[in-house]
Amino acid sequence: MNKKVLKGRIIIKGNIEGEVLISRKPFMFAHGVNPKTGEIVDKRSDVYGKNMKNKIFIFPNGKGSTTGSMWLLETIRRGNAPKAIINQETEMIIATGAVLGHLLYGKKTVIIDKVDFEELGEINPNSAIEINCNKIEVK
Amino acid sequence: MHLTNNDLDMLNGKYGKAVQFAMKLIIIIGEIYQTDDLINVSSAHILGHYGSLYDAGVEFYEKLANLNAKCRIPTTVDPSSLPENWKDFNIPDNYAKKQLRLYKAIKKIGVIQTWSCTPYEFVNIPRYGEYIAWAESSAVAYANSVLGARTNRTPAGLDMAAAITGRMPRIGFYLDKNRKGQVLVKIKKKKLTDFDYHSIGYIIGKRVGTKVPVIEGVPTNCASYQLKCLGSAAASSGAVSLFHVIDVTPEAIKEDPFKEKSPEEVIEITPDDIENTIQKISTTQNEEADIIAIGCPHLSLEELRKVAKILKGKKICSDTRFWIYLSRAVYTIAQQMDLITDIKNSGAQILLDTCPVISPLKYCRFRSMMTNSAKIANVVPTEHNMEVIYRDLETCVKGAIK
Repeated sequence: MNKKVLKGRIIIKGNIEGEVLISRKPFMFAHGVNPKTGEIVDKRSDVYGKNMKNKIFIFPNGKGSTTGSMWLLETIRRGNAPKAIINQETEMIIATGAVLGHLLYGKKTVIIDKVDFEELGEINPNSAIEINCNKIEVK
Repeated sequence: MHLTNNDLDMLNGKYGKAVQFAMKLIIIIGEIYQTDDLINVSSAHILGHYGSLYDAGVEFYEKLANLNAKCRIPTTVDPSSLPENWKDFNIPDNYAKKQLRLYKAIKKIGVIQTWSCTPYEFVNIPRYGEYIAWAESSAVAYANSVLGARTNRTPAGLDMAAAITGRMPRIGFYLDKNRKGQVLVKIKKKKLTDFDYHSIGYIIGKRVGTKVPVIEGVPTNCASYQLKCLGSAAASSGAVSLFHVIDVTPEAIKEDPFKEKSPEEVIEITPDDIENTIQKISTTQNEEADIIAIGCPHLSLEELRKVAKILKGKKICSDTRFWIYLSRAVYTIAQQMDLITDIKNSGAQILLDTCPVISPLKYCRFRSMMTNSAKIANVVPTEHNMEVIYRDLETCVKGAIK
């Protein structure tokens, strides 16, 4: 049984459901995603080759270049961004990209952080997740 | 959020829609990172290269320019995706056009036309304790560490918002408590070479991640450009925003950077560690490269002098490219010293306004690059799908002339 309910802190609010894409490593948007397709192109990533479009993208934290906000923004602009991002710690680069995506294009990327990654445990990569306020339900 | 009357005026549109938008962004980010306060920043350094800003960035900056946004504070700009002489390269027209649009918008907004990652060498020179809003991780590391100014790794987009409002949320490295040393790094090698500073920076970044290292064992007569290289490597391999060097950097001279707390960790870097890292950074055992790239960060004058001295009287092989990346400021002075002539006579090329990390090297179809820059070596294999060979300057030159 893989049902879990976790709590986090709302960075960008929204109630949505979707398919999970989970990475155990810090993720670098800068050079890490192909904005034209949503495909993850960072060979060092444990989700290399997977696609983030419309997924609930879970990773501990962002890392890397200050350009990451624009890589995310372009991915949002092209409609290839995740529906939601769940982090242990959301860094400013990701928050900025997502906020700009919402302000400029009206496309919301729900972001929740301060989620306990230990608790997330061995979440099945094919899980569905529902985010309701600051609650994350793994189905 | 405590907003001053000026903040409210900006937010309410008194100074136009661009400033209003920027204030909205700044306030939202401040709320996310849980501060009630905004601070004044006295300078900004923004990113302006199409390679990462993409169409979203072009549209955003054109929108701001069309709304008559103007810099409120001195604002410099990082390298472009195009070299100054971009027409001599194999760059697709539609790519170039997008960068040209960025040039136009960024110039209209009143940004100082530096197109360099080293604005702190010639025009944007913050003082100890000054609050600034800079992007570009290597410049952030330098400003925080070597100059003792205060900035976060400002995300692209937010950097421009700071430039046109002069405000930032009071978070991160603006606060004393976040500037304390966390990890002690003991350098166990004597007589450090320029190349060592790159390698040491790379090791430190990998080991400490986002933490604040305090470095012991760097000589007090080290050159600022050597600290530049160390900081750039650490900012790239890890995400170091601030480092202290005992008896060298402003917050570590006569001041305890640990603020009387014990270090969380003590790391030693031995000559063997440095040697092993050089081997590990290279992605191939091959010693042959199609292209040799020097100048990330942009070469300081002293570094350029060394390059010119080694190249003088020599000739680069016809099937090898030797590309040297500089700011226009350094280039102008170097011209007066005949350094540029010596370099050009060797067949090496000088590229202005750009950088190998963010230029479209894929259009040149290189298979392997040799470089003395740990940052280039860290980024190039993934971003440009090339092999990288990491060697000191002399070896790089030898590789090009044989």
